[in-house]
Amino acid sequence: MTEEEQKAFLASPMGQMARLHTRRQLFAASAKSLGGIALASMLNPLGANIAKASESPGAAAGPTKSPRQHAAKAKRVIFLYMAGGPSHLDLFDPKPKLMSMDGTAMPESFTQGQPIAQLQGKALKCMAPQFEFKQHGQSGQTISSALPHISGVADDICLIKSMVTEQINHDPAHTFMNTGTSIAGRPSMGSWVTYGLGNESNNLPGFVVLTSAGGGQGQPISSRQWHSGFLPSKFQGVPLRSQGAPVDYVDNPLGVGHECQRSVISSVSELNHLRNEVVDDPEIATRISQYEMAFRMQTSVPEMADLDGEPQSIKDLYGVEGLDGSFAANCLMARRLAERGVRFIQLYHRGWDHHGKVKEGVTNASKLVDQASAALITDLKQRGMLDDTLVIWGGEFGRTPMAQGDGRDHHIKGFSMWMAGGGVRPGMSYGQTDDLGYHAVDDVVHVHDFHATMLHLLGIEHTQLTYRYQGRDFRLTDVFGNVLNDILV
Amino acid sequence: MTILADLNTFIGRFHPLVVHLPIGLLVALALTGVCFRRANVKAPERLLLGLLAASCIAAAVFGWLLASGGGYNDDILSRHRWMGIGVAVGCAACLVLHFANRFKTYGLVLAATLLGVGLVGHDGGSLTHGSDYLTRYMPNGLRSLIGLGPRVEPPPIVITTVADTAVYDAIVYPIFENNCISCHGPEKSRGNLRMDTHEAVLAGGREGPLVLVDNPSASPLLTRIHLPPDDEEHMPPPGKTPLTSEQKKVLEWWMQVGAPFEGTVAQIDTTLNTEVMLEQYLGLAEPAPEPQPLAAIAEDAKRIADELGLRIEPVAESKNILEVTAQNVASFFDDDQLRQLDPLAANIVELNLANTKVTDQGLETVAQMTNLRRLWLNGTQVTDAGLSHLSRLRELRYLNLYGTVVTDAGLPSLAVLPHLSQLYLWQTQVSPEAATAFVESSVDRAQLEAWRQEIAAKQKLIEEAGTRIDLGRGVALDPQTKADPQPETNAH
Repeated sequence: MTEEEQKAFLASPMGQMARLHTRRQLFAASAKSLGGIALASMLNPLGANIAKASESPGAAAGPTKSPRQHAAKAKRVIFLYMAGGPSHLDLFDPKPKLMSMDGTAMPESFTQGQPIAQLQGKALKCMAPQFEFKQHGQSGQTISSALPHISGVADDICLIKSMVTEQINHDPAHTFMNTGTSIAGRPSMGSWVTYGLGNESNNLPGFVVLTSAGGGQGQPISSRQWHSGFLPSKFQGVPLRSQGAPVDYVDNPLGVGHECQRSVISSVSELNHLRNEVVDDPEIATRISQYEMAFRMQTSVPEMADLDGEPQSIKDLYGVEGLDGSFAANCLMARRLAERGVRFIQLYHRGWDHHGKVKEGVTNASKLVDQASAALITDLKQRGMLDDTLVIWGGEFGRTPMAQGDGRDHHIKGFSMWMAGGGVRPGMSYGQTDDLGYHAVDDVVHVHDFHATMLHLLGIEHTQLTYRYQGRDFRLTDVFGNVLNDILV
Repeated sequence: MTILADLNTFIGRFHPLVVHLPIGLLVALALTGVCFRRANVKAPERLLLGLLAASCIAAAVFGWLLASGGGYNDDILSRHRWMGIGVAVGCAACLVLHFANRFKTYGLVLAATLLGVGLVGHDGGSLTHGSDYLTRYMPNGLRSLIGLGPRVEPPPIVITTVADTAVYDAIVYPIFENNCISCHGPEKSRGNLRMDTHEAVLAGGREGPLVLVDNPSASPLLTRIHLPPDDEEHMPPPGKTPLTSEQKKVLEWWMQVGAPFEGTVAQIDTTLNTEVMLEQYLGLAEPAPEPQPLAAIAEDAKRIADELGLRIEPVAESKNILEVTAQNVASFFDDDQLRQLDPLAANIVELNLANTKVTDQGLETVAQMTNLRRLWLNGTQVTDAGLSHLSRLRELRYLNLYGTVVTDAGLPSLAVLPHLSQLYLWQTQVSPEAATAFVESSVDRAQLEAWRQEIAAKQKLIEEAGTRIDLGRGVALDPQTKADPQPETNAH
């Protein structure tokens, strides 16, 4: 390094950081650098968070225009991901016709030529909804008796009953829901969002994933579901463990103090920085920032995951016993993460894949998620956070109107999801399936439309959120996607 | 007794209707007399004379009943009454003379009666519309001809600042003058109530006092204006200009401060709330400064963000309005640091100070951000006293006070914010009753109902416009019908 370069380095945020020692100075300085970056993004249409990648000659150029085209209604997203394929027919989409046709042959006009998973080549028989439906709230939304708590917040949610997707098996369908394509290796939506908007928090990652334990179905969820694909890897989802310490090795080893740890990180950063001067690799930049993030997380994560400060009334609201890995505990964690500025929080709950015993299965899964899902809405609302937090509830697909023994098979031509807060019109139902709940027929919502709408609520014009990779511009919505204007406030 | 009085008034009110019959008949008789001097029109004339006498007596009786209700200027009333009776007598005399074939005298008496009708009619008009009704807009030349001086306009009250404005003369009295005094004034004093002088306002009317000096907020003046518009006792009565909600608020405030007749705003009430309310009422509120262009503030914004560790961003690409959050430095961000945002004040539309060390003092800085729409103060030390600084934030839509120590006493400061639509008060000292009352006071139920009806009407228009075609995809339940598809067409 020449003297000038050295001066420049010491003046740079990283150089300053390397010389800092107290926690307060550290927080102030790290905030400084990021505040400065946010400003840089204001002056420069390139998002500052992507500036590093686009500057380097080896990497593909970032978007040429900021994707933030209008003021955001939602500042963050909490996606309650119901993995396995919840049965829309037993939760949100009552079908009296299906009830009356229980046990009779499914009309071929519905199923002919349609993709069918495990029921292929078998006799297709109608299966009545297994639960009673009632209207709830002032809005009169019709919700199943399996979800008494969600029924209680019926006036706060927007039910979408006409979802369609393109993949009929779990893993590719998860991939489709998360990345907008079934081809593995594209960035997930949480990565796209943090890439487009940056992270509000300096001390926690912008994209956090929590997977709940329990429910009896331990179907694997590949970490590919929260991968950043070709986006810089700092936008990758960070899974926090939901039992025990949320992050492994978050505590310093015995004998290593805070100061000592600081000096190790600073030295490593300095070396990385020197190397990056030479090769200018965005992954080194990522590594530098992730070391810093990890160091800050040594303080911020234990603080975030400490539920002792939560009053008993709040724990009771969610039905939380402690940090036991339950969906309820994760919902409470999600609220705490949201309060601390995490941009995209995704909670996976496995246990909705009811090929057999759908009644029992839906009952069990509902017991595990119903109360906490509703509690999250209530809790965000009383804190004034539901206005700018978009809550999404749904899975990768729905389930067939046809019986598979006493269960239901995978179904992709019509299923339900709901959204709440963040600029979504509350207390409304959008779209319809046909009389038997097979095809979405009115206001059909493709996964691409759902993505476009989610990005719109975050202030992003989905056609502008692009990343050039291997010679073409990629989007979360590919070449599709229409914003659902009818469900916006 | 009241039933009889009511009946009297009811019948009496036909006086203005009936009174025009004899006038017309008199004119007709006079014209007949002049135009058909030589023809023999005795029989039709006698018919008209009969009608004239009857209607004259009816008009006089009805007039007497109307006058018994009171509320008129006594001098003019007595002149009107006796001249009216005189006219009736004149008409009767005409009838008698005509039948007696004393046509010469008949002509003279008829002419005199006609003259009398003109005079009595003028007095009648004065009683109903006020004595200067005819002359108020008369050209000055004509006025001097009939012995009136040139028209004198009261000197217009010049209002420059709220503080120096006379509370009664410049703020309250104009409301009385425009909305009350036409019925409760020198010309007409309905219910024996006059509101044109201090003494009269304090004296009240037949039904008791108007202003309760000991308990002004319970004064009948307020009760009457707050009754539902369809209530019989509501003032102003149907058909008269209703008070606006701003005028009602001003009268409420006047009562709250003890219904003073003398003194300026500064001498009576110096709270910021009042100043803001009156500024808006008197049209003295200054428009919020335009946000500066992005280029002009970018340097400052970057420097401030760097120095304070704030996140400062435009709300969208190339917008010059900013979101500011202290989230990452909340644990040590204080009033002094907040003050450094001053250069950006006009550009900040969202400010997140949640869980910071900001206090009431810091809200003085926030008060300068007049374009602010969303403000987070949850988890801070702000109190009721601090909230009074927010009353000038006219654009404020969202205010989060959850987890602060604000109480019911803080809410009035927020009542003047015209656009506030979301207020979060969980875990504060505010009582549910006060919160409900706050919501009710800011909701104009009548307006909401009007909008609802408008929406319903528009919704109907939407439904009626255009044609909807439903091809019924996937609803064919019978496989056989699929072979021969019959698209279902619904045309509305």
